[in-house]
Amino acid sequence: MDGQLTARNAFLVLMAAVFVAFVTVPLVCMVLNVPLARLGRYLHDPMVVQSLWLTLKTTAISVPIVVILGSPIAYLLARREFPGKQVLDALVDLPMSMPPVVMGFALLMTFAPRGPIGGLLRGMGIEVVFTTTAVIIAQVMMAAPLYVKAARTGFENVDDSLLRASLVLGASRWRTFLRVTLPLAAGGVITGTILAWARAAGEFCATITFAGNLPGVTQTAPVAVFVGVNRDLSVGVTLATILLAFSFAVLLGARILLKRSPR
Amino acid sequence: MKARHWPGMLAVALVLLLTLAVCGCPKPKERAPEPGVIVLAASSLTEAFTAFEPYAERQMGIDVKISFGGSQALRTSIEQGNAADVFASANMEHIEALQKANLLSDAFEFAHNKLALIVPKDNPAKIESLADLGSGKVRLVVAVEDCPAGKYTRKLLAACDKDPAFGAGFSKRVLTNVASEDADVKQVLSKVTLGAANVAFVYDSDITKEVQGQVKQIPIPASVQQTVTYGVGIPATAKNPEGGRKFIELLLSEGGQAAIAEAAIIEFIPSAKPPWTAN
Repeated sequence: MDGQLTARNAFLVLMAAVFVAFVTVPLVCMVLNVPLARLGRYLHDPMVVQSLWLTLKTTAISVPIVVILGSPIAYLLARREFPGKQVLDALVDLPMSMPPVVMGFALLMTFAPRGPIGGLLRGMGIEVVFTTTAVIIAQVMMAAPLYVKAARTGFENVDDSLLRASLVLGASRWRTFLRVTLPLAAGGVITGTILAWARAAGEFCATITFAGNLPGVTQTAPVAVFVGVNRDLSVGVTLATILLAFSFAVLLGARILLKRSPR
Repeated sequence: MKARHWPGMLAVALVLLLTLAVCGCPKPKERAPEPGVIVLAASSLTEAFTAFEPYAERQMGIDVKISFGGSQALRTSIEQGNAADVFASANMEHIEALQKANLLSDAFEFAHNKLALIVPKDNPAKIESLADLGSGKVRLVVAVEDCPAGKYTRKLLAACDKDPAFGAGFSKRVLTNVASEDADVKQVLSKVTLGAANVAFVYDSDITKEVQGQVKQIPIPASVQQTVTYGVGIPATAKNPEGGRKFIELLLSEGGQAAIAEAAIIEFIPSAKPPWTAN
């Protein structure tokens, strides 16, 4: 029995190592191309600083929007049965299956002055394309499916009997949601939020297609990486490495915090 | 007890193996030459080369694969060892840089292009001349400075600064109206055809029949117009350099140019001759 288990573990470890290699080897190869001698200069490069700052600012807005817009639908999909649920479910995943450049063009066709919503907004004197708002819209679009998927799993794990107990004990529906459902679903909700942040922070193709590329306005870090690669490979690689370190720190930090905080 | 250690040992061995793999990663593997021809071409050549591809395939009897992209990105891919039999750039700078690094041979100038200033058909910003770009609520889209189209655009604006008709500081005023710097000229074009931008600099070759219905062209004075020069050559990474040369010869042949003329606007340099055919 013991030997069998070990053999099984060995297989798992082996497969995990293959996966880890698959993820890390390309990244290591990229990092090896960073010009260490010039790293200091790049860290103060306005393009690097500005684009990272813009990424932080836009994701600080887009991720809460994703959570606010995505939670009700995640709850609905997790806890209610209704006709057309499968269709809604497929619809939620749709942006994930589409090439981001297509989503970018779809947004452009919607919000450009010639598009239906763009025309309406223009009448009110609001321009969306080429603004930071467009960056946020693209991020929400591409990050929302990940959040909904994870949050839904969280809501699905909530035991019905606990909810009934809470209601029987006289708690209101709202109080039950806040004090029972939400804490129990917190794992999924927080995981979803982290995933949504990672996706939004890395969003590139829909952004550059729909929002464009203007330093300080729409040039987020991934967009700057792309433009930087065209300028000078080492600028792009350096910025990408900073983005990599930063994302890894956030993803890891969030998990550590999650483990520490009492559930 | 000992048996428990071996997954750990295995992991260590694997990590060591990977380290070796990492150290070996810049070395591309040798492969047998492929029979087809791989062409890397600037995005502004999309229409011309796409129209030419079936003709070249018929004449050569082999598969031709063309990959379009920004000239800078294509140059980078050659520098990184990407195999290609032809490199066609929208800028001689990239040709020369590759030549200097001994990564390109048999290079020469083969075609010209011009810049074009376009507005959406309904011209919402009411732009009638190049001078209008410096004023009002203009939303201009240009290509990034690092791609040839962007470079020529900035050269044109710099030429305006020296022209009394526009006055010094013109380029600065125009550049404050830039709403976005797109990565390549096709992206710039799509911003105008979709009505997101109200004016943009693209290439003359981008104004195809289909595009003509969607945009209006604003004349660019000859005094500031830029001549775009296309260069072509055989990368050192070529697996089929002979095929590459044949492709270029066909491109300059009468039949090739006839195939292109049907679908695209491109101004071939009449005197252009591949260096390997010169006596």
